[in-house]
Amino acid sequence: MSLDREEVIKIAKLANLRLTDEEIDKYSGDLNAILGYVEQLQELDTTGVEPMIGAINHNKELREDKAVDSGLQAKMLANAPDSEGTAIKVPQMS
Amino acid sequence: MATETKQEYNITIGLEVHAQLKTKSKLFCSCSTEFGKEPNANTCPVCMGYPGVLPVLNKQAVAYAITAGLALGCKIDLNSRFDRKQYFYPDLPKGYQISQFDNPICNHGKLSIGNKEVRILRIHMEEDAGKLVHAGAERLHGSDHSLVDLNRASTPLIEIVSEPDINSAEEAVTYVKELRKVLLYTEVCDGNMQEGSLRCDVNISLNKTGQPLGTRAEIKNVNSFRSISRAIEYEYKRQSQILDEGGKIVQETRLFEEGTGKTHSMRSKEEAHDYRYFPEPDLLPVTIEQKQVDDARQGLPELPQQKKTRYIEEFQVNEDTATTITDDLETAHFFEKVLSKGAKANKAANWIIGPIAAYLNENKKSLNETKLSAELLAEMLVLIEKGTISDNIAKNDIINELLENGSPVAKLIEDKGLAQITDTGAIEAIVQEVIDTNPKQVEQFKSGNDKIKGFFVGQVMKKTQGKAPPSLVNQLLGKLLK
Ligand SMILES: [Zn+2]
Repeated sequence: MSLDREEVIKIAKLANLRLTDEEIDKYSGDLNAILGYVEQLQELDTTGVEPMIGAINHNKELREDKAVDSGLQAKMLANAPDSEGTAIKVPQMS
Repeated sequence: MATETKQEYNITIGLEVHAQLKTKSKLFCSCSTEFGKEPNANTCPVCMGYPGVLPVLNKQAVAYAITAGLALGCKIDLNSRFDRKQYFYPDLPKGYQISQFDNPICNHGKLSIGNKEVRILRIHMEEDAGKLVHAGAERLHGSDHSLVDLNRASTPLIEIVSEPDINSAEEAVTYVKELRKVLLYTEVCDGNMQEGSLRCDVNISLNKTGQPLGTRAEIKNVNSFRSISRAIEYEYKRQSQILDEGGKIVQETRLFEEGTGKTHSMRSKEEAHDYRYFPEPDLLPVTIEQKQVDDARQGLPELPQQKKTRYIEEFQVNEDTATTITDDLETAHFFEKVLSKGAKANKAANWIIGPIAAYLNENKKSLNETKLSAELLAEMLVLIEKGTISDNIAKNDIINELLENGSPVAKLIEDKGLAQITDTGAIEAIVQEVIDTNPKQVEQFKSGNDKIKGFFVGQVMKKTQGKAPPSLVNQLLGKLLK
């Protein structure tokens, strides 16, 4: 399996990335190298093996429904690029 | 559907209803879900999408999803899973929404909407997005920015997806009303459409009989019963016009605008729907014990349609009355409590949907905003039953007092002298007096004018300020006019 230029452009668009022509060439090569590497794994016969979704196997407990104030509002707002009142300010959306 | 529209096409509708679960905290973090706080008051690094944080699933949200699923006749999947749905928008801080894609918690349910059964394809759990305020809307001059409030980000939702079994705007509205009732009865959602606790996406396609189903458009932002019906009517017109002109419907997402009642294209589906779902690596699969499902099933309350059927069978109230009372859980509870205090079902029902409902409508109040308790109403109804007071006196002089002031019934009757006259002799004397002072009318009655009897009843009622039992007055008139 390999990605053509068009697919790389589409993926970049979906990821909100603006790429130059050179970058598209570069990332096409990079992505195909990664896919080629992953492809090797697919040679293994995994019949009867449950798919593993994540590497976490602790914390099987669910969380009790109790509201707790994080107390971090001001700190997190300070991390935002811009804010107005306690709202985060972003460029005008449609 | 508007009557002027020619129904040339069949309309096929599927609904996706998002219901906010009534948890205290968010789906994957402990932030409060309280509505109406200042922007970003209910946020933490998890729901703000900071790197390196771990979501932990809210136990109660899972319980609510199971309850909703069971109430809607679904099979509960003991092993479901969360996935990432990826898209970019400033109200989605992580760049993906945690949802359930190909392995939802509930599958294959159904909901009856009276004349038919609508199949439910699936119910899945997911987190809500935040809220964007377009600053330009409130200001005279164009604004160059939007404001992001993430209080709602990551509040727990269930999305209830119906099969395309709905064939008119009216059916769509009934479906959402019935669904809302089930969610309210099971207390998993507060059903508040104004606050966005219940939101609707409508999928619509048209076709001609015998033809395959048409291409569908998905209408978003349909958030009131009226909007559901307007959006569907608008889409019918739009799509049928395109088809009439030989055009093709584009599969796309359209936004409903409350102000104009129109829908407009948001984006073509091809592009936007490449959400690149993949299993959420930060969460374990959701595993549920069969016992939890069994317990939840045991714990299900009586559902709206069961209650309605029971009212008809057990209390012999008619279907319309049963529907009106069970439409609102508070009213149904009130009704049942009034009965438990000794009132007769039909009388209680008629009072609740009659004079009491009229008062509530007029004053824009709900029952619990009045002073009327079930005990007071029952007491009044028992006194009517016993003949202590008349229906008319209760309507004219008592019920509003109870609604507004919660006055004790017995004291009210005594203070205002509202009790009916039970002394037959006294009433007989009054009837005789009326007969004696109106010889002309007596003459008319005797020459066969039966209607004149009403005149005598009226005169007696006037003299007794309406406190003579009508049946007794009629009986006495019959006797004394001979
Ligand atoms: Zn949070």
